[in-house]
Amino acid sequence: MTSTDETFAEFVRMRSPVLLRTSFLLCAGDRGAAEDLLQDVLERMFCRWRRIAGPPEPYARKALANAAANRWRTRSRRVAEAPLDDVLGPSEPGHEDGVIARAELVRALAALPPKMRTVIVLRFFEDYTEEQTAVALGCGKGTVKSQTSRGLARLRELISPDASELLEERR
Amino acid sequence: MNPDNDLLERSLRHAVSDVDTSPEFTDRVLLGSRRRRFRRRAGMATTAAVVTVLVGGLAASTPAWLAGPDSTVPADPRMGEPTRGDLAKDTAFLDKVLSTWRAEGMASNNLAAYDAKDCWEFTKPAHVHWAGNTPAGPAALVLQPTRATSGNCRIEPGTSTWLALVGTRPDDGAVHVLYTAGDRGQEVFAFGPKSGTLLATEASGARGVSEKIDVGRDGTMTRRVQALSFRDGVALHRMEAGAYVERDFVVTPELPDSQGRVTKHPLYISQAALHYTPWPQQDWPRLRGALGGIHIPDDAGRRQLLRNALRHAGMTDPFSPTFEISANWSVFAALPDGRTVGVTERFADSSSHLYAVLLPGDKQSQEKLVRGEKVQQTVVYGGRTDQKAGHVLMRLPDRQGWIVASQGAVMRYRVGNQPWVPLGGDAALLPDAATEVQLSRPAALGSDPVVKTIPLT
Repeated sequence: MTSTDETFAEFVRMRSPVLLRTSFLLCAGDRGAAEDLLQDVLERMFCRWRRIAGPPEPYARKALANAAANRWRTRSRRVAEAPLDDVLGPSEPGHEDGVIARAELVRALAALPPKMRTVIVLRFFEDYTEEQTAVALGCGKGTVKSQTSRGLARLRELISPDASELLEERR
Repeated sequence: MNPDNDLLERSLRHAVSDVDTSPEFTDRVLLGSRRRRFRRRAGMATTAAVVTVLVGGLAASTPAWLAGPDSTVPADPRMGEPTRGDLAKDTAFLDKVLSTWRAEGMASNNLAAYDAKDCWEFTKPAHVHWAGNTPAGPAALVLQPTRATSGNCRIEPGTSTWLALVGTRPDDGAVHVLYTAGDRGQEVFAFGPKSGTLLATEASGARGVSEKIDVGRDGTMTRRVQALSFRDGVALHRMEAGAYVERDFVVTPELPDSQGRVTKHPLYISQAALHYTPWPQQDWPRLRGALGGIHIPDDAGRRQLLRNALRHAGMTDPFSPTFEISANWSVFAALPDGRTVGVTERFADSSSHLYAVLLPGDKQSQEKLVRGEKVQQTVVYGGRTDQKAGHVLMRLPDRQGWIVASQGAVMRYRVGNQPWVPLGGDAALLPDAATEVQLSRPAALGSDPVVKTIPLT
């Protein structure tokens, strides 16, 4: 095995589970789309593996974020996964457990425009700063601010009142 | 962070807490990556709808070869040869092959979804190089001169001749373009049911095929190589190596010497199989298997350590094919006598095999092993793993105990009739005197855990 193949295989094997979680949120809970998106990004990375400067994981995250917006344009052509309501059990934790129920959260994420959703995921899941988010998406800091603000407002509208009142903008 | 932001962050993390890759995900990515690399190297990236397609005299627009001379790669001499093979005179079949190529040739190779550019064009009519009957039905090899178009396609400009395999696809029983090779070394294909039919051109350099790894009783791995027999410039070989033939077989550019050795690397046949069966091995990416005694901090280093130790013991594929993949789990533990044990599994001969490597417990020796240097070691073969069991269990030599592992299980053991002793994680080193181990795994929501008690004998 060549060293390129070997190190790439190791990276895929070790980091895919973590990267898939980001992809899952970027795809608003569509598990199949999340795997497709991640696979697409990783395959592209393989062709450039030797030319990726620095650790590959930040590169992968940035590529995922960018690909999510583009990928979503073709989403309507693929078959959606089973609705979350069908796969989540009755004991799904909710507000009483200190979190917004998953089905409710991903449904709300799905209602956001792709770029807005990506900003929310980068800011609140990946813990990116506004500057890091702007760099990752190739946009201005002002755009990140406005997308964050509008995204949170939209989420408040979409989820139930007892959870939405807790959502405020990140300072 | 204020508490409200924390709620959103917590909720997002909760929403993905049980999201994990499917067992075959890594394999799919690696296969797709190899295909994409091949396509990129071969300069195949365009949309099918807008290129100039000229096959069999059918011109879609001004012939591209009139626009300028091709000078990068000499024309493939096979373009000027008559069609070979036992179906060379079957005009109906040849017409069908060419019409299939016209319909699918460009589309089957395009990367339009990623590059969205016209990156190559067909420069001359296609030519059927070979047509014949194979164990997987009638098949043909089509030669197609191409040229990379100008533009930002990240491919080398110039000309080349592709060779495509047109044959029957098992899933629908119809004739399709199965593969396209961009250089001679890639002209090795496995196709048909279970990818069990191998076809190689003489130009590929292929001379032998090894269908599978033979695993001895002691866990050592060897290969036998059969010579390929060429007729009309093509070798056909029927492989009978089980359900995972596409994982096991390698094609060699030479035949082994009297000692069974080969000096050249096996051919890179990344496009050789469409069928790709996930390996039957434990899929435990989150197994907490570091129980002490290992001084290599990262997983990649630990895998390298195990790979080198097994290679030194003759317990890896002797031909080291590209993309040899190790298991996604391992267990390391400090042994009572000061050594360290590493346990993992390796795939060979349509099965997965369990191995334990007993190595020095000091950091220096372990780092040597990672670098590929030899150290004092003992490798124990644990036999084929039983995937349905959901756990691995292996007794170590020299009364060093038992290794047990099962991702997600709660475990405990006991000695004789003494009380059960709980274990911390989903892998453990049990004392040699242990007589029973009990594994408890979560079941479906609302159901009791599945408990399994295993006697240690």
